[in-house]
Amino acid sequence: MTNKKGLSRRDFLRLSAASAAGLVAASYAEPAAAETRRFRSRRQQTVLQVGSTNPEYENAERQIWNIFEQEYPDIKIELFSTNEDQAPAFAARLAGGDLPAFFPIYHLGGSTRVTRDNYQNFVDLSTTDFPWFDRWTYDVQNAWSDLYGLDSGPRSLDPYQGFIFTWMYHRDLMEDELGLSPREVNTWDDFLALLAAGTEAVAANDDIDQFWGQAWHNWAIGGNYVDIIPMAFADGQRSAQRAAFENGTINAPDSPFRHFFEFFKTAYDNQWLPENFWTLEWEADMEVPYIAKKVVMMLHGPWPWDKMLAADPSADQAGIPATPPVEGQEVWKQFMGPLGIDNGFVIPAGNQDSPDWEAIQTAFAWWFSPLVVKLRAELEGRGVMYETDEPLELLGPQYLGVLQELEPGGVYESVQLESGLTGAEAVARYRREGSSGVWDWEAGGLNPIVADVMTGDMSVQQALDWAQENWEASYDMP
Amino acid sequence: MTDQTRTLDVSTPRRPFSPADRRRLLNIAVFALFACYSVITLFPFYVLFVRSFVSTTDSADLHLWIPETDEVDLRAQFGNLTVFLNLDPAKVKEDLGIPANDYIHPRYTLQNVADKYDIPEEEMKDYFYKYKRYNGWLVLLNEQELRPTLLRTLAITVASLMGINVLASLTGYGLGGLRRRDQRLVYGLYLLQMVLPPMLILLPQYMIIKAIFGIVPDYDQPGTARHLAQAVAIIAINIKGGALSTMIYTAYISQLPSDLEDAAMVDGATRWQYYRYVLLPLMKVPAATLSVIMLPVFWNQFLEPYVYLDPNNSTMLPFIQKFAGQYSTNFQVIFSAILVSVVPLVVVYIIFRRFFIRGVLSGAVKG
Repeated sequence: MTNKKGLSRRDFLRLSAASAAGLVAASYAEPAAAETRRFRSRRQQTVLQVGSTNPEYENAERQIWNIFEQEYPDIKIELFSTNEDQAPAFAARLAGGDLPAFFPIYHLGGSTRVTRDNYQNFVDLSTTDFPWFDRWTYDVQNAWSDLYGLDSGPRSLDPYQGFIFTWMYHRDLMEDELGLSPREVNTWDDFLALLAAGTEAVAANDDIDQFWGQAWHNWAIGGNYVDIIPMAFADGQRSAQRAAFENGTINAPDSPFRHFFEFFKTAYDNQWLPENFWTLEWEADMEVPYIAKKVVMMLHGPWPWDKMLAADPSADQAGIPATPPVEGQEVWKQFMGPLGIDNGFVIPAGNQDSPDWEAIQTAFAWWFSPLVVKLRAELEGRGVMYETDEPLELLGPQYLGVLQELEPGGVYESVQLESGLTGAEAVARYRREGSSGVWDWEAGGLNPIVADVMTGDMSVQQALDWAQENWEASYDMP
Repeated sequence: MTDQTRTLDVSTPRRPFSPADRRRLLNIAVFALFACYSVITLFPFYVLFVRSFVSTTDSADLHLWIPETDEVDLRAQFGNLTVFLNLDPAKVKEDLGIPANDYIHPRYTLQNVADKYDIPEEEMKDYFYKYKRYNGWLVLLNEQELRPTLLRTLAITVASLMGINVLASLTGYGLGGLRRRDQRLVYGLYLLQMVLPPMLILLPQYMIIKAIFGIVPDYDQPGTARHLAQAVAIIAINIKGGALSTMIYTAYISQLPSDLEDAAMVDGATRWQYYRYVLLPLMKVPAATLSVIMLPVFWNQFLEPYVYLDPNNSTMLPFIQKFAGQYSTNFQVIFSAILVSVVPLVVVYIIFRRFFIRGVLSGAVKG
């Protein structure tokens, strides 16, 4: 096959052809046998492809779906997951007609919602055999149509409360190492003083890199922080935010959103924030240093609490509600993200014509049955907007570290959870197809604006004017 | 030493290094240079290897060797470990002798589970310790799809490389010389592909391929026929006339004197015989060039395999990608998987290095 000069072209081609044929045979031989076995078994079994809540939870949710398969031995559930990078490819498959039974709509991209533009791609759930609508603590059958002004039943379902962003911190670093007491923070001024004292203390500590860890995330900042920070102020509450969206006064002198930019500008100028934080990556530059205990505190949702605990079960974490009130704001409000009215599990349209339609409806209804909602909520450690038969055993670290303190008898029992409609939700029905929205966070448009405000290349008013232009381009108000 | 010798020494001073010494020194210098180059080249692989053992808690520090791992804390929550260490609860239950149908509350600690099922604490700690220390490798090697995925990637890559070279050489022959207007027009159309982003044609291309391969019996059913058709679709997309392959072969064939073809025709050869016996043996340079460029491209392909292949019929990159979550990434598994995926590529380059180098060098000399 070879000679002294090396591999000849002919031999190379022959070798390659033989290798390719062998590899093809080898790579398909074993799966073929397995597939044959599976295919035979599938003649008696319906196989449904179901999207997991998140890739992280696929293994854990498999345990829940095993219960379903015990109850319904004729139906097999194949779980699949999609992360942000895989979303465009998943969308292409869906558009090409490969329909899974059901999946969370954010598998199509983190910012994807059931809107006026796409709702016909999903089954109207009021037309299905779904027995649990009355379990929701709000009018879930009409919430979506109210939101978008359309005559339709719900197209997606989600039983949870919105995400709750709080300040979370390492208690040992905060209290023992730096000698600070966040639980004594009662006002916005106290909080600013904590940021200043923490930053100063960390500067003198070789083991810790940053007091307030912050990086960029389009959704976290553009879809949440912008709404969270104003809630410390009397004129920044949800009602004011809704009014700004409804009246198109995003750049008004009393715009609630002014507080977001002003607070971050102050924090950046005082070096409370990491340098050029808008260029830092959310997971690698913010969450990982927190888990490595190089960062003391973050403003975050529930999941890094669990990530920390998985990495170090002895981690001592605590939190404080996000926005201690400014003088003049009577109540300490805690932000709750939008409910999943347009952001839950969907059944792709077209499944009604599938021979598996009955099985799909059975599995979908089971996934939202009281027992399963309880198991799912306990897995994620999240509260629900749903009446379960038994009380939830919420042992998640965010709940234990801060949220249970909001209940009667807790340190923060006077703090109120704000679950009203956000400004963007209030005008969702008027949003133009393909428009950017006010903060343009889906396309990352807010990032350079924040960067310019932080570096002084743009004033807060100019940033609000940019948002106002986005509003005018995005909404057809009546 | 005599006076005569001293005189000789003064009149003809000895050079500090003989030619043999200089050659030896030069060899040492060259060796040292290449040794440094090798270290610089291999160091990222070494770091990747070490990092495949570094947990998130240690990841903010520089590690030149695998760090120590703390013993397992029985306060760890069962659900958290399955989520963040990518453990399969079914396998954990089987390994620990827990009935498969028992539901374990994800918030129960390992201590709770040990107490409930009478599992000795040391056994519990030892079991999870290995997953904590060798998480990346154990999760990867426990993954049943790893071996077929590697073989599938290799098969698709080899078939694509062969196909693209054959098709591009035929295209190059057809367009060779670019003498006629129609040849230049077709050549221009091939080059036009360079400005088309793959994402732009993703959906229409997918629908066309799906319509074509939909005629394969049992394509709509899970099974070998569907999986083979999907793999063939990827190969077809890879070998279809691309701008780069057309440019390389057309440019090379255009340099060949037309006398070559005329002589073959005078000798009574057909066009196919000219292509097969005259042109193809001269194509080592473009074949080597294109193969060197396209090998890593095909091997590391993500978008098309992710779209066209079922998850259980995947290639390496989509397989690795599945270990990245929505909120968190298991870097240990990803680093391990990247190392595993790189090894075959390196082996292929080592095995065929002579072929690649000879092809590229012959082009350089001719040029």
